[in-house]
Amino acid sequence: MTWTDEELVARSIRGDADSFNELILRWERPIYALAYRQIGREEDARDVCQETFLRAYRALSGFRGQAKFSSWLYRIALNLCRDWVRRERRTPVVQAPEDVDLMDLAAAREPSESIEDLVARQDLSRAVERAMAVLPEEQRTAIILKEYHGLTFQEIADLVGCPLSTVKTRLYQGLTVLRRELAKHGTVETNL
Amino acid sequence: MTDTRCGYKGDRDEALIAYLYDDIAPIDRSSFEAHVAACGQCRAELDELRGVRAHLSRWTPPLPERRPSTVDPRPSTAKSRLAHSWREIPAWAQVAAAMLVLGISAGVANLNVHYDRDGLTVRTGWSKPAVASNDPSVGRDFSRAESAGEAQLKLRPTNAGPANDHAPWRDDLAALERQLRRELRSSAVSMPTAAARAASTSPMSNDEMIRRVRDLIAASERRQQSELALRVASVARDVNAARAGDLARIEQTLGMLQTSTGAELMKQRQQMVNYLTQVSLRR
Repeated sequence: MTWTDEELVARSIRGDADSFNELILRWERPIYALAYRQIGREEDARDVCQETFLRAYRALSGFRGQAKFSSWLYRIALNLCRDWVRRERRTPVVQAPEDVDLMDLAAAREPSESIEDLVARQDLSRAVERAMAVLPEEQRTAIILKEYHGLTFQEIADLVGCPLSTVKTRLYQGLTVLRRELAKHGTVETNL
Repeated sequence: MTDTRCGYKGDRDEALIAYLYDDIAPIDRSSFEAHVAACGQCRAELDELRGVRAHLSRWTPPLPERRPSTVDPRPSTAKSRLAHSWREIPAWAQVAAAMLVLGISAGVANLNVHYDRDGLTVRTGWSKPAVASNDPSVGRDFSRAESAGEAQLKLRPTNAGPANDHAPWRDDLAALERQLRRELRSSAVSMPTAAARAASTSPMSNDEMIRRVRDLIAASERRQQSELALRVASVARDVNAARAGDLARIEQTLGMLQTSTGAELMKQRQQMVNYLTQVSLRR
């Protein structure tokens, strides 16, 4: 039987640590991905991920289920990312190592993918990462939550605390900037 | 022909984004679809934004392949827990178990189990048995002797007593099984220690809670890092094997080229000799 997040939360509150463990397993990866895309550093993203679960655990008894557990986690993680950006006073870092480690490359290779395809995929990934780093924080957050976490406009609006129309506007502006940035690097063609 | 200037009534950018992500009320979707059908500018922009989205999907965080980092106590996941625990068993125990399995499976063809003063001998193959080692330092352990067409797996007790009705190799197997079970139990216990501790319903301090969650996460990361290292090593091995294969093929091709070139030279030389012979005969 698969428990819902909310059921696992209720069990965790009653002292069942395995249930919280299950929540970590379930959400560790998305939260790490969110943090990494927000701040661009693996190590700091891991710290943010850990801190998110720590804070969630400490505040678990205060979780009343008004929002989805995932939204609650996302909010904690986003706040931590925002703190990180402000503390570091910088935009997200783009990790694009000069010397590509062949072992890392090999480890990242999909089965049936040639080395050329792999390199092209990684180039594209870095180009997107660079373009995303150019975006203002609000636009980047909106795009990350929509594109990679599949949240609805309403969920994003609730999460970041802004009107629905603002979310759409941020997405539109963000995608427009991305299109321009990617075109600059010859990654996409643009007619506008 | 369609108009390239957009005359959409309403907030066009919002409608475009809502339509792009298919997060739009059905009535608005129909209305915007009708507009897009007639508006070249919106169609072109939609295409471009879809292209941007396609590129965005290629951005993957450098996250190693992850497996469940903790043990789920529910029965439905017992299999995965066992698989996980297996990875925690020390290498020597895994090697011993693997040797046992190999010995038994290979012996299906021609298995010869023999127990004497030297201990248990599991022999496979069709040739004569190898001379048993008398090295006392081996003690209660496995040793393997190989001769032509034969593989032996020997399990020898330290105190080799006289053979009796109770087959002593059963004790050895039972001891090995007990040891493996102990390892399985200890690894299964050590992994979720933090979780098990935290399962206690007794009240705990914030520091204690933080420490436990940290333990869980740190243990998860350690395991994932070691799994990644294994994966990388495996990929490196594959790459080396492929390279060795390529080199062998290249050498083979070069050898063939050299052979054909040599044959060609021989042929030409023979023709020259024939020619000279004919010329000398004419004189």
